[in-house]
Amino acid sequence: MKTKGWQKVFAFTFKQYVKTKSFIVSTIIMAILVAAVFALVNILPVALSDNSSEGNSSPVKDIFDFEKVYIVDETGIVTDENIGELVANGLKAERTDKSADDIVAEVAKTQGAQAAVVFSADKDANGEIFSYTERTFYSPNGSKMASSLSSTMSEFFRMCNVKRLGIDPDAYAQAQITINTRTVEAGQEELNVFAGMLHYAIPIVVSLVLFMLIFVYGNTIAQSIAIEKTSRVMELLLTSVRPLAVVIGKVLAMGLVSLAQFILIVAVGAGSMAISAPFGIMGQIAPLLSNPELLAGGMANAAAAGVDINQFSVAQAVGGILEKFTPVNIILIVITFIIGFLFFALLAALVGASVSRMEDLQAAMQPYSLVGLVGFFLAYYPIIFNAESLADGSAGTNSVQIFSYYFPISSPFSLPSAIILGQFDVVQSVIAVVILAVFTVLVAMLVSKVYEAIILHNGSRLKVGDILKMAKNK
Amino acid sequence: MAISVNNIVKKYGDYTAVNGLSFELNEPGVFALLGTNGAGKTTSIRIILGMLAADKGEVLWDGKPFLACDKPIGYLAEERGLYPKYKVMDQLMYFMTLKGMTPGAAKKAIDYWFDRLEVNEHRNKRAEQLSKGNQQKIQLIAALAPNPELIIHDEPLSGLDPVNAELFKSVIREEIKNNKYIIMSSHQMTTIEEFCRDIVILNHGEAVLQGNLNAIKKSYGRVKLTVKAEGDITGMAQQCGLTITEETPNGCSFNVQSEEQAHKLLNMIISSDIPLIKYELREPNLNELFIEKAGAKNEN
Repeated sequence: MKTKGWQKVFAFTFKQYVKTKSFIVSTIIMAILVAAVFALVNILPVALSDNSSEGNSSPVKDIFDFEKVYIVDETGIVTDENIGELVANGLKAERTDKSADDIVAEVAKTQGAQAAVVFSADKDANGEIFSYTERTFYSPNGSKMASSLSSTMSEFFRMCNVKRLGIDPDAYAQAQITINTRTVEAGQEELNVFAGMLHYAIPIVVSLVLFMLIFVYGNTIAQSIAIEKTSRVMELLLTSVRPLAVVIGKVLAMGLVSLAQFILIVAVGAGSMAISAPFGIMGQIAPLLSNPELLAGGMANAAAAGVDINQFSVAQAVGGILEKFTPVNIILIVITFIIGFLFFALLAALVGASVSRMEDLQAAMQPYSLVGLVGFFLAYYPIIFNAESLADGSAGTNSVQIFSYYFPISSPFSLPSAIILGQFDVVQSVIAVVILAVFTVLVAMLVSKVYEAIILHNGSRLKVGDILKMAKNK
Repeated sequence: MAISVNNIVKKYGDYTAVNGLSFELNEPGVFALLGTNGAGKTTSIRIILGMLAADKGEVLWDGKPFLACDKPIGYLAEERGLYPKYKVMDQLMYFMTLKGMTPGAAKKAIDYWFDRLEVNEHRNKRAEQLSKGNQQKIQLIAALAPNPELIIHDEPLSGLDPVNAELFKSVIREEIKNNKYIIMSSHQMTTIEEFCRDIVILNHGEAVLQGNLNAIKKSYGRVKLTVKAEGDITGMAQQCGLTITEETPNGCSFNVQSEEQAHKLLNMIISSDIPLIKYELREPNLNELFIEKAGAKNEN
């Protein structure tokens, strides 16, 4: 049997590889990075939101620390009554008749925290006002509060104008409520803002991680086979096992290492998320995730139930993805990974066997690298082209993305995220996996046909054409 | 056990690497596969080991085609290879388990050979940390520890210092005593002559001389004459129809057509006043046969 003894090659390759310093160090670094990224993704939104809410509260308090806020109104809109309301609220505001330049020069010289707020109107050639400008000039000691004062004063000016026009301020506030817009392809899932972000980020991260695990380990396989061949260890091995057993044992061992690292990444990420949950967004949305009825009820119901709208949006987005992790989908993802790994690993093994000198390996790897990179970019770039659609709230995919899910050199990198995001249903996913499997079998047949001849070839590097010719002649 | 190599032919494009090589190993001992560089020795060995497929002919083990990986064969390749980054013990254990040995039996065999070849202190070192000679010893352990029936040594002594060369020779002698079948390829004719029973000399892929070494030598007869005298014997040699082939401090060498020619020269020297120091009439040695067969063909 051509493959007899592959288990021994597998055991030795696996044991030796996981003992190497490079593997141990890279695994530790990868685990730390993954843990840090997941913890940050969890904690950062909450931390930033805390900071920003602190930031919102401080100007309300701090702008009252200005010793004097001079108001220069060149528009005639701000009344004494309006300024009286500011003073009544605690701001040390005062109208001045001095010119803007004079009062600004005065403020600039002061040692304390003072500001001059200038309201002016911008007119066109016909003398019609087309915009107003609010400028806040602050003394050096007032720099920290200046922007808060500026935004408060621009809102103050708007309300002065509303009152001047005889509009009810409450009615105006009602009319100013934000209107969100969505453009969704009919038949596609409608996404909230967070879900849109996840639909954008997940395929990028997943394709990058899979590319690293599949393609980089392919390189390692090619290098390992080339070392065995060029160092003549292969000749010794071939007195005990057939070449195909060597390649199968090696590919499967590296596949297991890669799969183990993939599982480790997922486990460390999940662990990091769980540990940091009490301090981050996951802790906040956990009660919502455990209440599917509330999630399904929509934002209006959630708001009525007193749920924070932002937290609800995140929970809805995360819940939408978590529900895709069905046993069938998990199996499909793992199968895609394994077959994809075999596809690239077998190609890499052929490349490694085709060289007789280590210095030829880099040149020999070029066609393999090209195939890998084309696959990766097919998986990666369509997502970026789709950013606008995702921002609009549509989960729709573009035609290049769909092609990348079916095309065997890109599907190992793109299909798993399509499954996670529900962009491909089970039937479509199975079809994509079958296509990948068929191509992998073809590569395996090519390898079994020519590998024995290639591995003992010495001399000039074999090119793709030479290998195909050998397969044809066999 | 018997190994039969029957009329094997291997071509690379228009170049014929091996052309109709046949020989048999049907009793224990050393069989020498000789030839100049590029004569087809390594290709022949690879065909015997099943690493290369012959275009024609067959290699049989007890009359049947075989796969080297299914038979107890030890192989010390010409271009030695070990995993440079792995520990010596780890890789030897790997090679032994590939040969079907249990871990316990493998460790016992490796321990014996570590002691025998005096490399015990290197067992936990990486191969790249060893000298070339010690790496060669580890390779020899990989070939012999599984206790194979057939051992193929391709240039076993190249690059070894005289002490280690002697150690290797003692191991080969031991293997002969243990009734192993050995195929040895080497350029060191004295070593081959020391061990081998049968030979084949390849030149450009073809066997130019083949058979039992003693029988071959006998068939040539005593045709190599070396004479050392205190005076000039050139004139006497010419009178006997002899031409000097080589002149060294050890004397003059001649190729004789018949023993009578040599005796005639001896009588002439004795009859003269020139004192004779050395007179040796012998069969050709392997080195001389090799040069005659391989060298002559190369000149053509």
